[in-house]
Amino acid sequence: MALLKLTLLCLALLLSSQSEAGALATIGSDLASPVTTPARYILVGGVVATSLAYATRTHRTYRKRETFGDAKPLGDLGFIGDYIGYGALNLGYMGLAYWYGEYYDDADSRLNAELMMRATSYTFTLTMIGKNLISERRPGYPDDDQSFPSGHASASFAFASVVTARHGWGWGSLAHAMAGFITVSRVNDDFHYLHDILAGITIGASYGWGVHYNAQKGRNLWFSLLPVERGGLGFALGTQF
Amino acid sequence: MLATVALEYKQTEFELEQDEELTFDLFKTWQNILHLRTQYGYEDGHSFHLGINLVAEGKIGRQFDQQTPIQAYSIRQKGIHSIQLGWLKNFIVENPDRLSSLSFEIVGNPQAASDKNAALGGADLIARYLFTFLNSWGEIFGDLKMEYRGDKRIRRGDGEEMKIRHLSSIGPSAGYKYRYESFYAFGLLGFQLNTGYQATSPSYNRTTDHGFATQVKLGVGYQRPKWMLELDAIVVTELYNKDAADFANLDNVEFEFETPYNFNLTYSWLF
Repeated sequence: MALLKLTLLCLALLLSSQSEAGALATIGSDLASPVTTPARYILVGGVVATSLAYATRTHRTYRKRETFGDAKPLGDLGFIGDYIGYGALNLGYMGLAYWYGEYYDDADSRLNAELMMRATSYTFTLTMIGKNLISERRPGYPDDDQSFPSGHASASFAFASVVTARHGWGWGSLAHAMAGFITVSRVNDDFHYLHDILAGITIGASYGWGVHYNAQKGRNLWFSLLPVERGGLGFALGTQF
Repeated sequence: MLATVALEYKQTEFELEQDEELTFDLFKTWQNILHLRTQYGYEDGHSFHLGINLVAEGKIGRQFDQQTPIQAYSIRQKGIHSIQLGWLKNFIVENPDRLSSLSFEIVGNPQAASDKNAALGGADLIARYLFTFLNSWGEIFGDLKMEYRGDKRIRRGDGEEMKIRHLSSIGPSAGYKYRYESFYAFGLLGFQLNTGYQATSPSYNRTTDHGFATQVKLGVGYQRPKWMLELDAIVVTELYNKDAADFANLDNVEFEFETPYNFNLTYSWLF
């Protein structure tokens, strides 16, 4: 146990001293960014919207459609959103921004790629935790219990939020239109309820804007693991004010 | 303080259409509504508003296509349509060409339905984030709206009471307003996703699992520093995903609510 405590202490100190912010501190600050930055307004609004949609959900007769021709509102075009919604936009943006940053030695572009990676990573992690903890069955596919929250919605809105935050509302409108199409396609094709996609939008947009605000104003929160007396582990949380 | 008087004519059709021709379960509402509203700013960037909406002349009825042997009926609707109470906060931002605000509103109808009055019931909650980007020609404006529509009870002309279950909807709208001196014209497009619509009455049961709505709004207006006059027209279509179990033997059925005619004449003044 003593060796474990010493290892964790060294690891925490090492990570905290890696850069100006420190990897662990950055992760801690990013994870808390939907609460500690102005992204909290998105979080609060999203939680309220998700709760209302959950409270008004209707009983669904489970079904599997042979064709989606009469599905609302996209008919049989929902598969497009399905395909591109698996993080293709996020990965494409990351790759393009990183290549541009390296090729033209543009620090801003490298930062854009990093922020997209950070926002997408936190969004993906939280979404997967939610899916596995809550285990809600999909409306059209009762054998699959990964309905809440929507991964397509969270990833696409993380993408749209970072694009908007870094490039303005011109490109942001286009990114939000794509994210909206992907998100609506999931309801159209019976993969999600309305509250699933609202939760996904909330997670993605909160982290997209949260990491942007953190990058703008610097970390305002850090955390670390510390060994404590009597064989336990401590969790230290600090903030700047 | 801002006061508003508005006249609205609204016609809404609730219907099931098959192959866009044969119509089932059709009933329509026709309403002439008088809106009276006052808005009071009590602090920098904050205001609340109170409104009352009166149905001057209204009717809920049923027409029928010539191919469909359905009995026609109608019942009048008169009195209080709804009372609304709301609060609005304007966000102060560094760029004066970008305005945004947050508003919350509760809309309720205290009037119960009876055999002689087909009043709507229930309370609605509406939260909106509104934005406006100004430029030299006009403005881009719109909102993100979340709405909770409470349970409704409608007394129909055939004596049946129809209960509509609560549902919620969320979606954006965006439009452009062009200004020329004191005149302006605008167009707005809206989209929203809805949870399922469920209506029951002794004679039928209609269930859906989700739906969506589209909205087109066009208007013109004249604005002076102390008053403004506006005329607009709105077309709304709401489509719901019918439940496969409920309509197993009805292919190509559309479950649709349509508002083909909604005209508003609004006069507002500051005092």
